[in-house]
Amino acid sequence: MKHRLYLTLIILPLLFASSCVPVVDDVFDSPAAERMAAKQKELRTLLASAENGWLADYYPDKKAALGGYAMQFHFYADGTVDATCEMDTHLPAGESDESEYDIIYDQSVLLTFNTYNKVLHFFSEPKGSSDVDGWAGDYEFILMDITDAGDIVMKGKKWERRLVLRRCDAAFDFQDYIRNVEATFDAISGYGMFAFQSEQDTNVWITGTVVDRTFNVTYNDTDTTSVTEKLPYTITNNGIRLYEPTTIQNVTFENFVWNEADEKYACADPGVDLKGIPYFPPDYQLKYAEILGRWRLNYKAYLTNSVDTVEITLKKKNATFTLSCPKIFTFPYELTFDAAKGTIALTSQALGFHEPSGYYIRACAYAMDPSGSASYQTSVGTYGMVGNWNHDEGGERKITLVNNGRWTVDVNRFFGITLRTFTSAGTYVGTFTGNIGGGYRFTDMVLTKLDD
Amino acid sequence: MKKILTCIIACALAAMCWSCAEEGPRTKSIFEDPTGQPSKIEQWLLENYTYPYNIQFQYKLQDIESDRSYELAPAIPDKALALAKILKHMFYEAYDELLGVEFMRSHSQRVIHVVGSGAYKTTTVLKGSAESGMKITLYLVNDLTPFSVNQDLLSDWYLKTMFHEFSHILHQKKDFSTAFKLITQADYVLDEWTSDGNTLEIALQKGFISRYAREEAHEDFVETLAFYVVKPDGWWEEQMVIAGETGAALIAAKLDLVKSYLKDVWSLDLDELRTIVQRRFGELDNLNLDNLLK
Repeated sequence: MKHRLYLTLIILPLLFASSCVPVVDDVFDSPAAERMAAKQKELRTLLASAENGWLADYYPDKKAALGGYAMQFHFYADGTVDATCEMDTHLPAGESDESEYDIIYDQSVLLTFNTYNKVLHFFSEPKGSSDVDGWAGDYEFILMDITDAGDIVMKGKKWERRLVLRRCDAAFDFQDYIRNVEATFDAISGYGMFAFQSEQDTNVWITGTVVDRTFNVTYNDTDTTSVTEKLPYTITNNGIRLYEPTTIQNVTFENFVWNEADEKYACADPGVDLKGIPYFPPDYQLKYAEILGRWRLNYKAYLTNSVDTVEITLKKKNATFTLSCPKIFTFPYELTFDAAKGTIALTSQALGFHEPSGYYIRACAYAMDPSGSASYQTSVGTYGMVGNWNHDEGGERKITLVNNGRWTVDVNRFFGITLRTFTSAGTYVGTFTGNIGGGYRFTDMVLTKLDD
Repeated sequence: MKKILTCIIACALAAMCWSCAEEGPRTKSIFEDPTGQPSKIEQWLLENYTYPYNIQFQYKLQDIESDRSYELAPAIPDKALALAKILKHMFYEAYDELLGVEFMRSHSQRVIHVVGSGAYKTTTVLKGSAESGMKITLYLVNDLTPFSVNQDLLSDWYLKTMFHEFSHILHQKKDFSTAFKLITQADYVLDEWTSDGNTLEIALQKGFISRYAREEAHEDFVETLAFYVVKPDGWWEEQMVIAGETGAALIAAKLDLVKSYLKDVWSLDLDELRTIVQRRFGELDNLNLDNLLK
């Protein structure tokens, strides 16, 4: 027994001695740390090598549901970066802000914008306790791929939204690009629904409702199964580009060009036969342009029937109007336009600072008992009224503002707005008694179009 | 036989010791420093925080250093530097003046991480946080206006947080007496301190200097200390009026225990520290906050 033990003790060390013989070839040419350092250096060099910067479709929001926004980045070797965006951020559209960036190793090679940039971090910062997520955009991006075409494909570290940096050639002018994006937006934003089909085929393949910069599409995955899906997109200088190449029923598409003459999208991806044409559902009401102009406003000032002339003017095309009547309202109101339904809405909103009283004034959604003895009010922006068009019956074009459905109180109430005062911190004070036309409760509003 | 066996085992073990030592250590790091020389801000921070106090002042947002449950934005470098100057004058040098530089060298947090935005929840905004005495994070740096600093804002957003969190380090090293914990033991409410029912007035009347002090005894201890040091003359007395006779007596008892703890354990006279801090508020205009790198 002892001999066996001695033999084992002699052989065992010999086995250990052979365990370190390097007979297995390395899979990689260099250690992981060296390869990672080389990749960091490669990305740093690549980013700074684009003298005219990089064009990116930046998608905020956890689900990219708000759509994307065109941004341009100029990276410099000294660790600074300029960022510019097509939309207003903390700077007006087209103005750039300089900050710092770094390429670090964290999970993988990662691009971080690590000092404050008034353009980029507009999307990542919280807006306060009432909006703790803000736009929920990323400011740190993991390198995923550098394509053969030279595009840098990245993914947001926190919200995992895709970010593709496309090298701008020497002739590219981002200011021109922004102007064309605005022109594209003007052209397409009046349409709230689209039907997609092949150029030759009249059968509707998918339908898409536009919400912000996203198509909410519906299509039949099989003969019986209806599928809904969100397709966020960025507006480009001549059309739109989807968040990523999308495949539906074996057709893969990403880029569309807007054809103004034919009022349609044409797919710009090679070999893809697909177009998108505006679609108006049967209950569609009025186009944006049809709402602009002078209207007679019948309303109740508390319990008194009243009438005045108001003006509805362009604020942001196909998105918002300004409703003004300096004779009765100290502040103009904002009406929103739903391009998919052709409807207007008047909801709770901040109106501005009233210097004589020293308070901030808000129009609050209001639901008043017909006797005037009881009422509900709220400054929550989703509450308010939506327009109900009379289809020009009786030869008059009328829009009645009715409860938008958020109020669940008695439907026989008078719905409208009430003017209230708040402190700069948003604390409610009381009723606004300084309105030019007097009164602070306006309900049962009916607009009748006047000849311009 | 035993000697042979011992010899064999010894030799085998010795052989294993050098079996894997084919290569010597590298003489040069594989990692290159891509940024080269430190920037002016980084150099200032090195000279004023790292070299004298062994503190790393991080003004570039590092996700890995932050709380990912919040949406955050980085600091504006100029504002971070302004805050660094203010903290050095109002906090570090105040302790230096009282106890010598070695005190903060030995006990201070090793990392200060500043974040541009606030850390918001739906009912609260986090102004600062600390981890195990190693790191303190200060938020809302982008809301600092270096050209119009005032004592209320500096106290509420930054300095109270610094004194608060640093005091946690002190009591974690040497705890204060249970006598403090017993004064208002029944009125600590943990997370309920944010409830609408816990107004400042009620907290004061129950013997707490702030709403947050009602969370638990350690928070109560450092809140009492921090408010006492940073708030201007007259503020404390106003709070005691609101607290009423009962509340004021409880708070006074706590303050006495805070003072005796600091004196006995750390040889720190809280009233002297407060005098120094209050005097230093009046010296802020000399900090060249409008010319940050001088």
